[in-house]
Amino acid sequence: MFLCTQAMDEARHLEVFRKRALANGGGLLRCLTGTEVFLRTILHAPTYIQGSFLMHVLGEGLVLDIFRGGEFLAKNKTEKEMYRLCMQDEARHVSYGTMHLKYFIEHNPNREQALAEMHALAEAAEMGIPGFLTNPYIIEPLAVLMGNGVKGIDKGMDAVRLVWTRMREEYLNRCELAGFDRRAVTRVPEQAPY
Amino acid sequence: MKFPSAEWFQALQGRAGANQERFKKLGFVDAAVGIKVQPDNGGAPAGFVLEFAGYGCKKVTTSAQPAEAADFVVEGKYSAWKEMIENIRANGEADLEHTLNVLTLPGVPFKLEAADQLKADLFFRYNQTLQEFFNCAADIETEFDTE
Repeated sequence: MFLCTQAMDEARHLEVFRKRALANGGGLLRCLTGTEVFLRTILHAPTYIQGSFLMHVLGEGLVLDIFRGGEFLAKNKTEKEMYRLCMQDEARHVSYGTMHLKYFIEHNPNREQALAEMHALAEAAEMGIPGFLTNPYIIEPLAVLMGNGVKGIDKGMDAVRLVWTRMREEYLNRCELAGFDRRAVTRVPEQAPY
Repeated sequence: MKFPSAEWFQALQGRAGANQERFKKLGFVDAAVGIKVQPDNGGAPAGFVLEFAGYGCKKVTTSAQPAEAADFVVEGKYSAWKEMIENIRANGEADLEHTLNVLTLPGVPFKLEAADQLKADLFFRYNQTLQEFFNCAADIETEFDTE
């Protein structure tokens, strides 16, 4: 039932952001290969819990921060409201995923094996965080927007570094809350490498 | 109505309650929201807990330690709260630079505190409702201390 409501939420997000992108006159441009590959890993996940972790905890956790950043940067009231409403949906999905992971770990009869499998998955998948935030298609426009123009790009990069720290920290907090401690073993650097 | 005071937040609660249809469209809220107003020149902060349930704020209480009863606490200096409220009063709602998300995202001038990430995420989960709740300050005659 929850996934049905989530599918409806995501369809709304797709519609509203597609319309917004088209209204800008620039069209939809391109989807990054890395993004498509990450989405494919969700679809091809061998078990529901693995797909849920990839989608709800990791992927939507990042998107939640993107929506917060979008609201922060939005230049008109309509965009602000779009981001806030999408942020609400995303936070609901992230909470579901976090609690689902917690339940899975707490109730799994083969807890150690389950944890080992989840750690193996997370080790590879969470490198999507640095992958995302080292991609010039993402960080350059983000820095320009955050710096309020090309001249302010250095100031904008300071803000991008903050986004890196926040995304990593919130992801690790959610894992910890679910009883899936990644803090000591994650290979995602604490600070942005730029 | 003096800010910060329980009466001020109750007035906000009343204004939001009068606009039930709008809040129903935004969905239910189940969260205890803490507010902390730090005096600019030091001293004891003013604290409040706003209990949201269903489609609105059900109860406002004064609390010296709002973190003990709230899911998350939005904390900021008096001058920052004053600026936000004056901005809402002047524009009928928060302008682009004074939304709750804009004020909290960098950690200044407001700070979002919660015992864990799930509770912090409630701030995002009900963000539009909280924004519209605070936008109701546009209709409240507010008195500020002269500092």
